[in-house]
Amino acid sequence: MEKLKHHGRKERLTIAAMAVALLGGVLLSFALGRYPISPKETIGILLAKIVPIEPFWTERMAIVLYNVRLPRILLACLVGCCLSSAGAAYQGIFQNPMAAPDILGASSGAAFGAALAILSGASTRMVSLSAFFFSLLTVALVWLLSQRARGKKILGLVLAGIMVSSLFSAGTSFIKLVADPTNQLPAITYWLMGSLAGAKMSDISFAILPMLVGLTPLFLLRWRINILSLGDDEARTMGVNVGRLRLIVIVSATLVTSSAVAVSGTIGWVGLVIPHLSRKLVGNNFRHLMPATMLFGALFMLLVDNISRNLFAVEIPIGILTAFIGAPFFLSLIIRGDGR
Amino acid sequence: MMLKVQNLSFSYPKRPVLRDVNFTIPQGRLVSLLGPNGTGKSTLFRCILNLLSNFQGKVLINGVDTSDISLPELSKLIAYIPQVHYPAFNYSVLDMVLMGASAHLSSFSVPGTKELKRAQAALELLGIEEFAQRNYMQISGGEQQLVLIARAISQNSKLLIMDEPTASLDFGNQTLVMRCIKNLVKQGYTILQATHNPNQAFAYSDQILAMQGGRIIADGTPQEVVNGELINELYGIKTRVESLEEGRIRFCVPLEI
Repeated sequence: MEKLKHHGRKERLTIAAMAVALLGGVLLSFALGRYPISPKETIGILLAKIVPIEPFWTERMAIVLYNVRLPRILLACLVGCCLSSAGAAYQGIFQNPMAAPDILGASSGAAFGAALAILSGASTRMVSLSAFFFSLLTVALVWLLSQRARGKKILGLVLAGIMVSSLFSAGTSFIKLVADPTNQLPAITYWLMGSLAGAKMSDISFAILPMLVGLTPLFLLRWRINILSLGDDEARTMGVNVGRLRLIVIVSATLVTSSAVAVSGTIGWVGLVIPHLSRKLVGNNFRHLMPATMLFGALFMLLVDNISRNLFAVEIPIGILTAFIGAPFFLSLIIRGDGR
Repeated sequence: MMLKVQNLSFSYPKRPVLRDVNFTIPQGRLVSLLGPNGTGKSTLFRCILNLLSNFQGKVLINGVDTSDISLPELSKLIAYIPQVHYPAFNYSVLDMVLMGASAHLSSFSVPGTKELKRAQAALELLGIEEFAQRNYMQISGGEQQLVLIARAISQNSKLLIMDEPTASLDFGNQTLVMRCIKNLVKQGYTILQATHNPNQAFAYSDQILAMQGGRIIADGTPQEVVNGELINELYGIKTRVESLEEGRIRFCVPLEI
């Protein structure tokens, strides 16, 4: 029993260290950019909102910080957190460490919705809304189709996801074909690459509610996802209402994926790689894996976004960078084995 | 009386599987269910565990009809121990055993000290407490089976259903697992196991259920019901039942090789 008292202590310490690293990363990120703002000035400007402080910074610094850097940093963290936790959740319920947030078609649905909105000349806000709406619609369609499929529920879901995804991808291709090649087609292509450039506070206020509504159950139900990962029969004989729990997890993971994709475009690899990295740090138990993945995903996305906006004179869309980092990383995992 | 199955019949859309199955298992017994592959043993288990609900007849646990109670309540009465398998994720042994607490926790809670104590007790009962921090996939098949049993114990149910607990285990591990199972019965647990090994039925069981074509064709003590004829009827091979050590050990061997 003595030994068991410390059960999970190492994992909790790792998670706490991640939280500290994320906080530090956020503060440092404020200082990065073409217009330099020191961490001291950052803290001053942020605190000035709550307690009166005599400004030792310029007015312009405050404007850059609030209107440019803050939304971008927040959005990077939120999107990273959402995509990673959705990936981890899907991996649990599909009992497959290769599952990614777009397994049920959330990304291809969002891409179609965005392309359609761009084609009809809608505003940026409408593009996000349309992407969000179509993303949810796609997953709902996949769910309904899978309920009619005979045999194993999970296989039905995965297959329906593949089919409906390819249907919407074909739709996106068709829209690209008929889109105006001078302005619409580049806009669609750029959206599909995924980018956090031009993030505004309004993006945050648009996405934060569905994100929180999805992240909360994913966090609260994290331990139960372990039991789902054992398979339906086993989970049911352990007293878990499998159908209901799986539906809640799918709805939550879809909400966070859809809202992330709607404001950032399709950013691949994060939802696959971050849960894996987190497993190396805190193990497979979702009780610790879920918070670790959420924090690590936010930190990773923040880091990649800092590279994306600072390393080169021209900004590289973050979706390209995550793939550049994600694919070699995954190859190295396959070659070295993951230590099991 | 612990488990009573009454007039249980079950059909898949085009294929009847179980036909009018009746038996009673008193508390504190190890019961072996013998029968060839595909005869409906797993289906019977799925009906008992309420994983299949559209059956005819009744399953009673301590007189309570299982169709009247919710899945979480049922899982506090009866636990299922699957064959050794490989979960998608390599959990630690302790994490695996802790999962048995799920029926006792609300959806949003995680295991606490009480659940840890129960998991620890289950590990000790099966003599595998030193594996607590090891990973499930890094221990032997026999030990993995003991972990799955420990998980059922930490689920706090006294009636255990085991699907061929010694299948795919080597000779030594088979004995290890069966000894642990026998020990649980001594502690008051009631166990129904499916097995393909008639000798195991002799060596450990208090009661034998023989199933053929979805029917129970024999029900009684091993001495009463297991003989060459029954084995021939079940598996279609000629066998002879022999005794060693003045009848203390009984076994059967096939006569055609």
